[in-house]
Amino acid sequence: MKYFFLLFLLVYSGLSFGYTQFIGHGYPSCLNCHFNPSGGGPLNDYGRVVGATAISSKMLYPQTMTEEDIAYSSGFLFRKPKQDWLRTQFNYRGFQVVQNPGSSKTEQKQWINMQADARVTLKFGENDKFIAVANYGYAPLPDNLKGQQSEWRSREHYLGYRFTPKFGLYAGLMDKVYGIKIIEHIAFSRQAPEVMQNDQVHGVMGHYLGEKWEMFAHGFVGNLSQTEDIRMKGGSVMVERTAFDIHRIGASVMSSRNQYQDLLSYSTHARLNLKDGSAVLAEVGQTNRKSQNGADDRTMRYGLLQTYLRPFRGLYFLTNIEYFKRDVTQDDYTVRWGPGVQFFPIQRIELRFDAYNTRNFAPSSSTKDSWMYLLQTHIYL
Amino acid sequence: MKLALIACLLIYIGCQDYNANTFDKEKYGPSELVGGVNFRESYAILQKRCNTCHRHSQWAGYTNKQDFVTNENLVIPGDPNNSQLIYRIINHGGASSDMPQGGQALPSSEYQKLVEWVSDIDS
Repeated sequence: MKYFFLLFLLVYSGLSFGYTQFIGHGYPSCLNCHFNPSGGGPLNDYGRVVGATAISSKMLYPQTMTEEDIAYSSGFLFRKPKQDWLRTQFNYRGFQVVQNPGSSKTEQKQWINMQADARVTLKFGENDKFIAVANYGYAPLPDNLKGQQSEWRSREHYLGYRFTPKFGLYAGLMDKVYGIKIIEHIAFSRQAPEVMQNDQVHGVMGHYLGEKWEMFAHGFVGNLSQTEDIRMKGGSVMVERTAFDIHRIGASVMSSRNQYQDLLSYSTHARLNLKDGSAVLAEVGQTNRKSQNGADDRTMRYGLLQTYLRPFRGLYFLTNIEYFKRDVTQDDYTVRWGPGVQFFPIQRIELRFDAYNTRNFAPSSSTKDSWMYLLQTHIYL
Repeated sequence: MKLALIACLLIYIGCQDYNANTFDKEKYGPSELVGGVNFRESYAILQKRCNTCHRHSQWAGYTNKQDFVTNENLVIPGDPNNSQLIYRIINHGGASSDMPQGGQALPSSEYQKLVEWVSDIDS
């Protein structure tokens, strides 16, 4: 129980401000707002403006302040950049986790500083043709590694070059491209294929952005700061197509291996634009693991359904439903669901509440469900 | 100046390399299991039923039955009834300490295998 709780804390984190549900604002591609076309990491200038003028509430600004004024204040430290080749950003995320709320015996509360990153981007050429990105920051360690490793890590460092507006190449340490990059890295759809918040790899990623199609091909050699034997080497491909002008449907496949395990993951997903900022995200997939010692060979199956409803600017009501079958040959499965609220009271601040109810089911028995609350603060400068 | 900055961004080394694969050698690596046939089978059960969640526990990396024994009360040689590992996986009817947490009880065949293993360890 205690360890599961700690595990949850360690793998739950978001890396970026940009979220895939913003297709509901008419931004199907992450490249609209991020330097990395697969999303995450530093925002580009346009992304900062979108965050300030479309995502965040205007309620705390004086009524005399125009959208243009707000847009101009979206730069680092509220200033318009004085040059066009350097962009910096600080990003902090922390949360209060409440496990088994209301239980006099088992309730646990803990505040976690999950992420504190400094991000630097150098960019040159028209439309940021060439970029160099570095993202370094604090990341908590599990108890059994404390004292053995630093709590600071390089989350990203890569170079990017767009040969044309449609095609770009990126090389360095980046997230693996696979499925919908939701911020809940504890999600089964991120956990099973091992694409959680610390699973970046060194590699080369090609990106194509056409009128209808968006494609990624990512070849990687693992995280080079790890020892050779545990580096996951392989590749992934993700393809998305615009459907009915405003929605996206897609598919991903990823194969990777190190000396101890082979993973093969495949999934299909949809991102639906319900307009006015509301959206639906859905993904189903499987991951097959073959281990060297044969102790944990299995095929996992997962499903994800998230809804985002925006009653007014700055506020989103969320619903998260997940399904996980840890072994497709077994009968038992897990369902996790819960509501949430995401609020951007002003640009640079995100407040979020999520409730998670988890329950395991089996034909012969089922167990009590468990609840967890998460109160999250996210600040980006 | 700009090129120097680019170089600085790319050459620094992240100190922390912890990720989903950090414990792959212990979880999926070659069987360096010391402890006989019962332990090998029990180890596979622990991997399958426990280490999905407990992969960060100290004992998730144990590959030697002696490691379990020397961990206080986790396994008491020859005494499954007083071994924490066995006690935790008995379904007490939904108590918060029951394992697997929030999941169904282990199949009786797997439970018996673990009991046999602990019982067979020389006390």
